[in-house]
Amino acid sequence: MLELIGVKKSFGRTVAVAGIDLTVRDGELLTLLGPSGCGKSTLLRIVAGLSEPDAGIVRLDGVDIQDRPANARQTPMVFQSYALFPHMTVAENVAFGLRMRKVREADIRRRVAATLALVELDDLAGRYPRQLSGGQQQRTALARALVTEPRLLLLDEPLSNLDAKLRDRLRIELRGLQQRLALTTVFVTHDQAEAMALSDRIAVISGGSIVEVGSPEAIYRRPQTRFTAEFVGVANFIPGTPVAANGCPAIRTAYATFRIDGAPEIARREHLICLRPEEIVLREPAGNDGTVGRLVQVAYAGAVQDCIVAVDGDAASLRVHVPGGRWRVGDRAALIFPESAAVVPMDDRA
Amino acid sequence: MTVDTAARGEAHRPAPPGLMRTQERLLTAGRRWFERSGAILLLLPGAGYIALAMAMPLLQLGLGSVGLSGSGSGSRLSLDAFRVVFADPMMRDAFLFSLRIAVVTTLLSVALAAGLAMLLMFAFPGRRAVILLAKVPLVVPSLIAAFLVLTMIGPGGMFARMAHHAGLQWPQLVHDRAGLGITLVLMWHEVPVTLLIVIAVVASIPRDLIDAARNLGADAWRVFLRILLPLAVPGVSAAAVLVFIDTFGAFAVPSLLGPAYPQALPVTMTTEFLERAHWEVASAIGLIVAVTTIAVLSLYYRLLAGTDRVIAA
Repeated sequence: MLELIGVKKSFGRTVAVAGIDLTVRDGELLTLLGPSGCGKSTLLRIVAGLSEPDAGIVRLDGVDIQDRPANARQTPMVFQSYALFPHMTVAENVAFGLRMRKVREADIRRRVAATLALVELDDLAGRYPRQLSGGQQQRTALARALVTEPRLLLLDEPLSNLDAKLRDRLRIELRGLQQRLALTTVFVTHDQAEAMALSDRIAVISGGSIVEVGSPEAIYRRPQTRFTAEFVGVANFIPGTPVAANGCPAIRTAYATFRIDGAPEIARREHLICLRPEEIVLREPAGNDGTVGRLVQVAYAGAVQDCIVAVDGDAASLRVHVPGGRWRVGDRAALIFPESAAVVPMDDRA
Repeated sequence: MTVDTAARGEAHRPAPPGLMRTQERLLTAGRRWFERSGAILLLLPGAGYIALAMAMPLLQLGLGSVGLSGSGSGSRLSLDAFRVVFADPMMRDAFLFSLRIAVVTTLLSVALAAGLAMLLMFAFPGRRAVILLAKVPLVVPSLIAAFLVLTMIGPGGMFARMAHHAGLQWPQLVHDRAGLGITLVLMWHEVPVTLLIVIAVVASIPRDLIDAARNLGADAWRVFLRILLPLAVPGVSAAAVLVFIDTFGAFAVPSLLGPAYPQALPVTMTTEFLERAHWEVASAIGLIVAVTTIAVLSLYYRLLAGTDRVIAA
């Protein structure tokens, strides 16, 4: 288990990490998700001991490791650049961490072979990094970290230098491996789709602070902040005011009244209803429809049509994903909203 | 007048088909020739310079050493000059003297520069001043440095007089048979050049590699030994080869600070052609210097071919 308590780090006047408290549970894959420059990589380097925090405590399995140098932490990291040693073969790269720990040569050979088999690189052991494809380099870097049987694995955007197809495949492989080995893992990425697919929990980070932590589903369906809603996936925001509907907290908007999912604390101020594009349904307009609009843009997106609908009598337009392919630009449609929805504070731009 | 008109009429009349074909063929051939020679013309600035500035002197040296293009004497193929050079123990001593100076200067310069470069990787107060001071010798000609050294550590120089006042014997550091003064001045000049190269080489090693090594359990010493050193070898040894070539062929400093015997090879060469007009012998010595440096260079390439292939990612 990894615990971060009040961790802070500044570079000159730039605050990279502004007081972060975070716990990563045993066997869990936790993703630090945020835009570039939000401090997520700095946080990872602090955990690895490659960067020294200005304040705070880093605890691994209950032991304060703050004073341990990087080479004594046993928190191997996979770098975005892979950082493979160019003058060593794949096998020598993978063996490096064991050599540094003075493991016996016979054990090194056995463990390197086993780990290379795990990442399916056994037949490339004698190659140099420049003779490998991007995906093979990535797996070498992963094997180099895994071979030391770490208590904590750190991954710094390890998939972002790969093409989309390979990234998708390695994402699945990585998740499978992590679950099979029950590895406590911290994964850093700016790619929200990657975070969703891989994580047990996601910590959304902005401006050096954690905006919120939750399961991928919670982050997507019930974001607590407008930043999260905007950063993770596509969101429609509809302004509204709190009302009580049948004793349940609700928000009334120009289009409909929404029950609130997860019942967050609602202050007496304006709020935003957050609707994902697939939560809105389009229907042929009948006589007595509530909200009607005109399709101004329709994009083909495989399983769904990605539509932009201009709402009648309103400057706003809504993004709607509808299954199938029957809608055309210029069509008129009635918009059906779900009964309940996520709500975020309006002025929140954390 | 009539002839003129006739000639013009002739010109306007269409040429018979056979002649036209010949003309066409000639034109095509001419165009091809121009295209080909045009390419040669385009190559001239580069290839011409190489031929004129590099190949010609070596050729001249080679021909001169076998008596074929030496000025003064008649052209006659002979290996007499080499016989003279190889038979003369003075020449052998000169060769060994130059070789020793070059090897010692190269080793010391590279070691000092590598140490300095590693030191400069760390931030410490006055680091910029050190870098600036280290570069001073780059802009001071080594001849001036030789004079400076002479006035400082030479017999009757600053230190010698101070030692004398203190009642001490000042050792002979210039005009000495070990070539200590020469080595000092050459080093003074070569260390900054080497330093610049080594700093560039070390800076080109990605920071991530050092971090990855530490992350995998390597302490500072093993990061240096297992990562920095092997990755810096190609660049550092290139610097060493440059220093060797520079110091093996050095003339000014050895002629100013060297002992009466043995003399450095280039000094001997100058004596041969300036004082004795032995052009063939001078050419032979020159060829020996050139061949030695070329041998060192090719040995370097041979040794590093493997490493280079691995590093060049």
